[in-house]
Amino acid sequence: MSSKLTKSCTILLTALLAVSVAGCQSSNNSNDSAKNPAANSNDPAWKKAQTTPFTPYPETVTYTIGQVASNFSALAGTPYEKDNATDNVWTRYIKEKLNVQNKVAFEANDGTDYNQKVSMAIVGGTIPDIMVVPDLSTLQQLYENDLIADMTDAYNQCASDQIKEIYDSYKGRVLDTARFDGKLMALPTTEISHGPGVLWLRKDWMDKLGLADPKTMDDVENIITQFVEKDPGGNGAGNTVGLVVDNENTAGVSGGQYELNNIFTLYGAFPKQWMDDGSGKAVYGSVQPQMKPALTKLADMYKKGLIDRQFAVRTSDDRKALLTGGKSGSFMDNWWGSWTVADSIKLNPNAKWASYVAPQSEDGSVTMFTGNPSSSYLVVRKGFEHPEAAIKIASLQFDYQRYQEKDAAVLKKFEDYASYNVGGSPIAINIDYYDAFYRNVGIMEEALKTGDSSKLLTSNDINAYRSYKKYLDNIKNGEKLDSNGWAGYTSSITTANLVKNSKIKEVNPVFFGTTPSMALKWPTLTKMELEMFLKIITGEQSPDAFDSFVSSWKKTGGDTITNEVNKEITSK
Amino acid sequence: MVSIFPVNFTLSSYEKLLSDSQFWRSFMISVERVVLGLIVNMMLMILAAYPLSKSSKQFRAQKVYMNIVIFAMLFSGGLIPTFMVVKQLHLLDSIWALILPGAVPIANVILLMNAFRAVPKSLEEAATIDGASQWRILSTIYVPVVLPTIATVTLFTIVGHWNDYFSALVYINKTSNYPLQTYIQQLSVDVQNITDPQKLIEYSKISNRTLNAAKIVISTLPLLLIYPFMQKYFVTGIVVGSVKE
Repeated sequence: MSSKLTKSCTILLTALLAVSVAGCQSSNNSNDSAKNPAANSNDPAWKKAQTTPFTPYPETVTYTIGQVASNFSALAGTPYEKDNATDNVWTRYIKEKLNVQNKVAFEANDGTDYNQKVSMAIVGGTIPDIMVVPDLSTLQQLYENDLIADMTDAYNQCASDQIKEIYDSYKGRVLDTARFDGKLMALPTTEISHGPGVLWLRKDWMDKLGLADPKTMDDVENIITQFVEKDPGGNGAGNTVGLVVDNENTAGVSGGQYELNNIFTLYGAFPKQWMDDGSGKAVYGSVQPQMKPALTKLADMYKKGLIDRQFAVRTSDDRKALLTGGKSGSFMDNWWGSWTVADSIKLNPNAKWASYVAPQSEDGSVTMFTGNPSSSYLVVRKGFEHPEAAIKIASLQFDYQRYQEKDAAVLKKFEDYASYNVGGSPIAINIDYYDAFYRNVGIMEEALKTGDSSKLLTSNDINAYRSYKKYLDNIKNGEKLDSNGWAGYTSSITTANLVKNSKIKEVNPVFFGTTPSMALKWPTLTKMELEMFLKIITGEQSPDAFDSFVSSWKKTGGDTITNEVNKEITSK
Repeated sequence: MVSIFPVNFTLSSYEKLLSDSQFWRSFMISVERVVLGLIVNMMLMILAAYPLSKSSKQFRAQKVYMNIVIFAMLFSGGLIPTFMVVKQLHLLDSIWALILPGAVPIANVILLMNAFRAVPKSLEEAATIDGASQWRILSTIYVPVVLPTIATVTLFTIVGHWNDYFSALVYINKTSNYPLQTYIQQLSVDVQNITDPQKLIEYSKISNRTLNAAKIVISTLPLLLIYPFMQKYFVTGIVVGSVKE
């Protein structure tokens, strides 16, 4: 009896195992590399395709890719309804022009999710033929483990002249980060200038109160005080909120949305940046003595209600709602801040936002710290037959499509995609001039004045031209304004001009990477820093608490990390 | 003025949602996952819990298996080793990657095992005398008697499968194959790590808070509908006995 039971129990448990194994067979593996026609190096057609930027391959080359997901559901109800990650305006264009087709190895949303997929692919040992890695340390690991292809020759032969010119305009700041032992191992993305922090104010409120454009810190404070006290927006006494501020990064990200970078740099403080202390040594900006007066100022502003009193608990949606809903009339952003508040025009046609490069220091200048010149890298798997395909796609996307494509029907498709906010391109990097956003503003203004768009350089500019033209016509005819047209014009023309004509001092942080100790200690230090920011600004602690923060920051590992950073800099 | 009734009440978000094909696709994937997952989980859990509920007199290796089970409950392989296993079994990107790694939830097995243990031995003995096999004892006596526990475990399983977003994030490579909760998790885009102006401009254009709220409401509805049906087992199960001693 007992042995019979034991037997059946054992059978049950074995069956359990068998079921779990049996389930595994009915699946497919999508990570298999694409099969490609063998390139015959003697065939002149292949040879030409492999050594020039825009020549199509004689046979279709397929590559697997880890790509950032695009929001194709936004295309519902349009002619592009059936588009997906491997069949959309961009992939069809690449297929047509180069005879190259993508195959998705994995896709995920930009940011943490995508980065996680990349790490998974790396530890899993099957990286796709082409992918974008999110930081330099990942690139370095890939290089050290010999997983990625040398792209030096491919770049020399297949990058178009314009692409090379763009990279050269950064004077090696970008391309050299991807060079290891003299070999180019990746195509880095170029981060165009974020521009200085820009203060956005409700112009219609200022007009109502008869306030002049702000220049100094005192002007800025005065305007916000009047906004809060005199309630020009009709929110009811005491309901108007001051400056809208981000809670996680009060400052410290170049071009950061809702960040108070300008106020900190006014006092010579560079929060969260590794700065040169003047003697060639790197120091961490957040623990420098210049921080204290800046924080004292902010604590004072908070006390007076000039900073949103609930900023510490707001989400990003809340912040946006305060501004578009007319509860607050001031925030600090960057030159594309008009996009942040584009909806306010829909809600209130009388709302007018104006941008200011303020607060300025005594000499009328604003200091900005620049961002990481290259944050992500396009890499090709070692062993992929056509490493040059990646360069060719990049050349097509960032040169040919932008500067040379003249077919209006083709451009219309890209314009449509842009208007639905759908990306679609398999390759999520960007290669553009550092000063891209104000580079062509003069030509654009000229074209808008004369109505002659033939001098515009890029396809993007031509698309933008139509949108701006429509916006200007709407103003002229007193019609209802389109929020996209307004936001585009205000950022790319009005604010771009403003920035171009302002006195901007650029400061380059010296280090953007990570060091070994950071893995363990940085999260704690960042948390300490965040708490210090919030506590001092909200007045829970006096600004003197900054000194004790600095000493405990150093003790908790800050000093170790600073030493490591300096070592990394000198070892380069 | 703010009063009890909302001003400018609108259902436009829900209307818009009806036309969002990806939302409904993900919805159906979640439903599929719950149904398949429930079948697999329940079968394996009952089949595992029943033998484990026997005393070591009846089932000599019971202690050994029990220790294995407890060990697996306390120590897991970790994210990356589990990922490697799933990958090498070629499960990536299939619905089985969401079901099989968690096919035997041990906490629930122990719950069921204890319920089986609480069943009076005399029931089994009576059935054995009447000539019932172990399979028959399990299916016609034990399972019906522990129905309340099974209902509880069923609920745990359904909620677990429905709400799990993380496994799809790791094991599914195409966003169009995401189940509902992963799809919803994607709505809160993490802009923190993005510094490229081109992308940031794109993100600052997006603002569809009401639409996202509607999606969340719809996603909780199926669970809300399941609770009332389970309710009756919770209430009756506790009072109904099967043996008088």
